[in-house]
Amino acid sequence: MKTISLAGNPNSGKTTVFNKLTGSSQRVGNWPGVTIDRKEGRIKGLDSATLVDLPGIYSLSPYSPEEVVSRDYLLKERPDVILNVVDGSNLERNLYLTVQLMEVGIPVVIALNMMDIARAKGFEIDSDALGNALGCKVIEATAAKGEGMEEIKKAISEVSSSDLPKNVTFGKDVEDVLEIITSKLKPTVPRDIRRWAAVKVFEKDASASDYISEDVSAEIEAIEQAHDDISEAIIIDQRYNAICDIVSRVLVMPSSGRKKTLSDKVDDIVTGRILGFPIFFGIMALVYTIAMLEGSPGWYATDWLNTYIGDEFIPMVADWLAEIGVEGMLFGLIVDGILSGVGAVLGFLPQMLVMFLLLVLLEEVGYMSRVAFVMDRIFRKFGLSGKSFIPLLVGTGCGVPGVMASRTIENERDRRITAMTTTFMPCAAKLPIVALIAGAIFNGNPLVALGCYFGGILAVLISGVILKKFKRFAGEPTPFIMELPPYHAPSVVSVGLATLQRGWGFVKKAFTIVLLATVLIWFLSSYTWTFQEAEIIDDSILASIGNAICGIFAPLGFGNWELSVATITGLMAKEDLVGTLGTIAGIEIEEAEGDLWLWLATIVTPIGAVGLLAFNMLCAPCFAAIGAMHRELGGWKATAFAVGYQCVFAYVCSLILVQFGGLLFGYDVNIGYMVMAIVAAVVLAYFIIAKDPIGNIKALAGKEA
Amino acid sequence: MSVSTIVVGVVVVAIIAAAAFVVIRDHRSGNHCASCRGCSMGSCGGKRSCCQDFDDEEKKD
Repeated sequence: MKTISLAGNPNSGKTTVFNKLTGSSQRVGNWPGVTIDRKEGRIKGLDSATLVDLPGIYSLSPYSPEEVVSRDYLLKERPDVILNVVDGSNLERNLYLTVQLMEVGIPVVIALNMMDIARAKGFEIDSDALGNALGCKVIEATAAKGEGMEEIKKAISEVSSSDLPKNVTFGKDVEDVLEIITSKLKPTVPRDIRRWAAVKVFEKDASASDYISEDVSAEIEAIEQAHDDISEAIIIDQRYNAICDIVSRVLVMPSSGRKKTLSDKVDDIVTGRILGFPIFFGIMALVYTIAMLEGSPGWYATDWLNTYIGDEFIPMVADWLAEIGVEGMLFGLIVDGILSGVGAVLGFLPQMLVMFLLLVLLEEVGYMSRVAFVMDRIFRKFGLSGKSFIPLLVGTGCGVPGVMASRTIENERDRRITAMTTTFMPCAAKLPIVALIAGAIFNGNPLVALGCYFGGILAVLISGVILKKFKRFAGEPTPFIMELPPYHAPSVVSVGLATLQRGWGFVKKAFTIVLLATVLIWFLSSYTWTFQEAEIIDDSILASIGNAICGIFAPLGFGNWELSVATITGLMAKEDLVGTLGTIAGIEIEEAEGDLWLWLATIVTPIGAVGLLAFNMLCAPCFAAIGAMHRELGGWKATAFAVGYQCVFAYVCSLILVQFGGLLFGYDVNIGYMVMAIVAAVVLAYFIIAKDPIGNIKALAGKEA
Repeated sequence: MSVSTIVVGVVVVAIIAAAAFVVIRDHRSGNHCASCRGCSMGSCGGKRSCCQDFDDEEKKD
């Protein structure tokens, strides 16, 4: 009985090949320990051969459950033949798995599938030359049409255990180190997999310690220094070099295919080592400038809408209500509560729509995918993977799917750090806060929004460094490999729908959770603890609550009760901060003339506004996002740690910014707060710089005990 | 109390009740992420699977 394992990339037509070869003779189960389908079947016409379908994978690295299942099966079960399904229309990428399969010491037959598509693209593949280069049989096939199936069966039946494929040869320096490693492998490592084992030791694969008997880290570190890269990346690079060499010999593309496409040329610049990040920064600066800068389309539309709501719509409704005899509590609830609160949030809709439109355009043309690639280089230096940046990008829309998107990270420790820090990014709900502060205090300066965006990224990076020092988060980041789709012109319908969908989400929240919060805030700010109408707002329940907690925020530059309660109501939904201020202003403006923006400028200094913004950008997210974190972190203990970390981190960052910023810009210095800021800065720096701050603290505590 | 005050009062209460209903319904169905349009960054390929997974798990709970 011969066992053949079927391996290939996702979407290579592997399932079609499996179905064509086995027909109805299939059994479906699970791979041990995981919920990944395991399919087996007898090959039609080859009764002595069982075909085992491995999960669709891009490589044999140990990061995803599918990859682990596949490599464990190949190394432990040792099938007689590997039938590798390769998408002929995407040869270069598919051969990356092939060259790894060739290392496991099992005969390989290649089914060069989707040849109809390859031919339609004008590709001419010399399958004999490919077979010679790889040292295995290559059968051209189009499984969807049943072509090549008989030839595959014949090749499988003819292949013998001695027909081992060739190994890809790496550069001389790498081969020299592999030779040293091979000489130091344990004698128990079978001859067939010694090459595989040596490569895994070189890559510092987690399972490699089982193979090696002597330390080879010095040799590997020397080559890492010579290449200025990690060993795993060196192997990946050299595998692709070898694949490119093979492909150049066996694949003839149409003349247009030989040239770099426009996408490739753009990517050379946009994802380049030097220009990649400055271009990203420039693009985001442009986005925020168009949406926020005074005189920009976004600012102009928002200014008009705010003026209309504040100066025309609300007075018009107030006049109408007075005319029909509505007064007292109901009048206050509608005019000072709901209309002022919801209106304060809705006033920012034009800026939000401009922002959504620009971000959607960047996603649609394919640029945002490149950003994750560009950021991988930076994130890796801080112990995180570029994969962590994808949830951050999603989180700029809404923190809930951002936290959920951390599921795509296979490394559990990186996944947890990402789930904990994704909400540092300014989500759509935080944008009205940014727009309010920027508009009211900083004349619509786009640097405020840009600072929040890149400040969020910086907070994630610093948190990555700090959290990696806790045992539960320590470890190397997962390598990040992604397929970059070609750039394409955005569809007007798709961009329009996506923008409107996000805009609708914003409007819906204004009329639901913000509306409910404004009702509550209006009540608390209009009545006393004895439920008597408050003569002035300072006598209200809300003011007394705010006065009780505002001392906490005083070192952050916004120690008045209004901004303190607004910060707390932001936990329901971040827009509620603006809604709350709108409601309070709706009542207070009667006492102090002006509108929300003018009123805000009277209750907070510019440096206090920086503190307010920094704290609200980084502190605990809304309840919905905390719920998502609970789900992803798997328990309330971990969630409490995450929320506690976020609040402390936000407080420390805000304190440092406000106190040192205040000193720099000539504000009065409060000695007590300055001492707090110095201590906070020293502790933060210690956690960033020290190798094992937690261990040092524990050791110190142990000594004192 | 005038009739118009009662009518306006009823409308306001209805609006508040409707808002509360939508918030509770969305919370129970897991549809918190109304602003998620399905990203094109590869995490769900535009299928809104982040929301979908959340939705499914909420229903299971």
